[in-house]
Amino acid sequence: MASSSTTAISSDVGLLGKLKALYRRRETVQFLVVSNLKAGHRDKLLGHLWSLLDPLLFAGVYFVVFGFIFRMTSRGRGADFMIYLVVGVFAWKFMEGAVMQATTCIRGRRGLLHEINFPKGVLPVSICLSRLYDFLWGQVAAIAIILILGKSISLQIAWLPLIIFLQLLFTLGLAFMVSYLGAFFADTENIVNVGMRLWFFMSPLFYYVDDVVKDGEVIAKAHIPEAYRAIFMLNPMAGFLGAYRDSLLYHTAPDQMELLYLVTVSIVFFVVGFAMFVRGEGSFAKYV
Amino acid sequence: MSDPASKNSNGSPSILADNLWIRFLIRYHREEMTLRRAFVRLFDRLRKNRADAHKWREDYWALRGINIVARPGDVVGIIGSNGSGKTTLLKALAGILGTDRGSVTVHGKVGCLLSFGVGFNPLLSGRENVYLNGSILGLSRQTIDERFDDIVGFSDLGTFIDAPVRTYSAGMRGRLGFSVAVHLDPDVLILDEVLSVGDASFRERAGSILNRYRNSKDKTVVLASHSMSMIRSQCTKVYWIADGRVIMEGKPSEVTDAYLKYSHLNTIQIDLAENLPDEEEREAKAFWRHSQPLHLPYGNLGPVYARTLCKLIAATNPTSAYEFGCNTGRNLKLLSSLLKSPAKLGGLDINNEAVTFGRQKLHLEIDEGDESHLKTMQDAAWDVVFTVSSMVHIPRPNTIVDELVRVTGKYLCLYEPILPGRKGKILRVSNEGVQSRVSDFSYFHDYQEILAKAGMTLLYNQVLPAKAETIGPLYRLMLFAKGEAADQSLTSALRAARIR
Repeated sequence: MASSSTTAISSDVGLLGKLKALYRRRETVQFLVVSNLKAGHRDKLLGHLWSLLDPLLFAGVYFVVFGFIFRMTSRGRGADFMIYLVVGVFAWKFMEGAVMQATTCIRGRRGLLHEINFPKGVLPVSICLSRLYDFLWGQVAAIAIILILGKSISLQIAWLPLIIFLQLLFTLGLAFMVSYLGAFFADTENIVNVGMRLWFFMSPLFYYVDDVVKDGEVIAKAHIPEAYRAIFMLNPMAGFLGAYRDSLLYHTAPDQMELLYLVTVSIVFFVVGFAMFVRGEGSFAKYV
Repeated sequence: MSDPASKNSNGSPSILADNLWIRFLIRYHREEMTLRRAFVRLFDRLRKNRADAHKWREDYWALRGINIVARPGDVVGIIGSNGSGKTTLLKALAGILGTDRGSVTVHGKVGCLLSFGVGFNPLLSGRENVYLNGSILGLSRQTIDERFDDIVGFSDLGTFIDAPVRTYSAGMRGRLGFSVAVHLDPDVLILDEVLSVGDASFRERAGSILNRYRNSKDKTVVLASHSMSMIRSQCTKVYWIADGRVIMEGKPSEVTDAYLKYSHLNTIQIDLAENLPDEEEREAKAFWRHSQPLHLPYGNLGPVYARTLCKLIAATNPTSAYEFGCNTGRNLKLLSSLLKSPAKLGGLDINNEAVTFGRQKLHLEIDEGDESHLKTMQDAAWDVVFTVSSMVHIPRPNTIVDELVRVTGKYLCLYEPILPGRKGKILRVSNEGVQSRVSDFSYFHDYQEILAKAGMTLLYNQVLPAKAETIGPLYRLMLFAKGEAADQSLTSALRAARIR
């Protein structure tokens, strides 16, 4: 940080200027990510292992509930369903964890906000990057599980970085929005909680949107009627989950139109979220 | 705004607050919100009965037109009682709070310590927090590496630096926070009552740091404190803040003396029918000579004082009452709610709008300097005539006072600031913005003589500090009786109504 003259009212104006100011604080973000990761699982016996164990155990629960009790998959296809679940749950937990944590990130750092003037954007960004870090390890775990269960991976895995980047962009946008709202309204936390629950069930984590066909044989039947699929796929998370599964599970490239939609949605969410956040940033300290 | 060339050059200010206003939105937490009340509120809203509908949120102006200038080499002290706006001001200077009106310009890197290290993450160790906070303050990792030993050495934490911050005492947190803020090597250091947490040896080291800043000629320190000895020994310039305004600025010894003399004036109770002693009069005048040119918002009595004033008037059991300078009729409405029996009420103000009052409409038709307004009062003999800080707005108040006396039936009530004759700026704050004009203020002392000559006797006299949107720090609330109106029972009723 240069010690050139600064004014109390930030001299970085415009969205691009604010984005640049945020980028200059990358070292702060790095410190925050490390402290976030360190503080998150401190005092626990299994420590950081929990960030892997948590989604895996969730996938296990869904496997038992939806695989055995609701019979959402055909007999003998347990391994496929397990991988389907694990890939979905990791991606979901990345978004959900980041958004939930971002809701309280401004209100939770009241002390800091009242003590130091800094670009507040580092808080939601560092949260998203912490969850990304967990998610990347989750991807390693997912690939390990695929291999352990006797399945293979293909070169289509090369799509992963792009999909992850898009999901990060989308998650950042959401995180900016909820942290902005959370700063002004303490009720945001409750609303986001319920909204996430609804969104979870609206996203294909444990059910299928399309029939899964392998070697001419339908191995999993769709749970969404054909007439509603187009509307259903407007949910960006449905698109992301589909894209992850295409590249990891089905060894195909993600649908081009779907990918284009995800690129658009991610950019729009990021820009709108960041614009909202920047607009309210100056008055956070008055409200929390 | 950011001009590198102007930095550190001797004359240009490093801190400039220009007519700074800051507003907070206060949300009221209602304790007893029952379903029935919720319905009542809803109906009130539907009937557009906004006055009855309970206020959920309200604007509060914590700073009202602050002007501050500091140059490199200055150690600026900020004094004032609790809740006067010191911390808000420091936060505004540090850029933590945005301004609502006016501007703040600070040249150079700002380091601030406003609370006792509450910005630290309690789960992380002191070491991790030094890196984290240093980075948030804008230091690079390399710089923190270089200064880390100095920071720990200065904070005197020793091996505790690797313990989680949640295990630290308030003093330890404060020391570490101060140490990080100082080692940021800021051009502008902002400190809020933080030096008092440390032990004696720490305070000594902190004092030597301040000395270094004062002698450096390119650094500026702003320091809020309740310790007058520290302000006197450390500062080069002091601002006294009250109710979000600068009351006085100047040399540390002068301002702290005045502060110690007047800040205890929550209310001075002066015995009934007794004048302000001459000595106090002189002090008030001397005090005003030192203070800044005034920025005056339009007269608006605080709710507590308005109630006292109306209670005083209601205690006289009037059959009619008249307010000279009634504004929107707010005081008249309050008065009518306090009266035991209905009375004829009237009022007058300079804006040409009609004031609705109950079922009556009062037409206000006075223009400043134009004496045609007196016609409305001419024929009436009102039991009580009262006025609330209106005289300061009138260029020739003596004629007005004569008229007020003439139409007074029994009692005349005045609520006026104690202002030795001086020029000042009158600020009118409205939805359209802020307008100002320069005007002469008058001093009620003159009217008092006129009133005595007219055979008025002082029944009630109370000196009050300013509250809310008022002018100056001292006010006087007086009730005069015309002729033989006063009796003993009234005196005790007035005594009961006064502000304690």
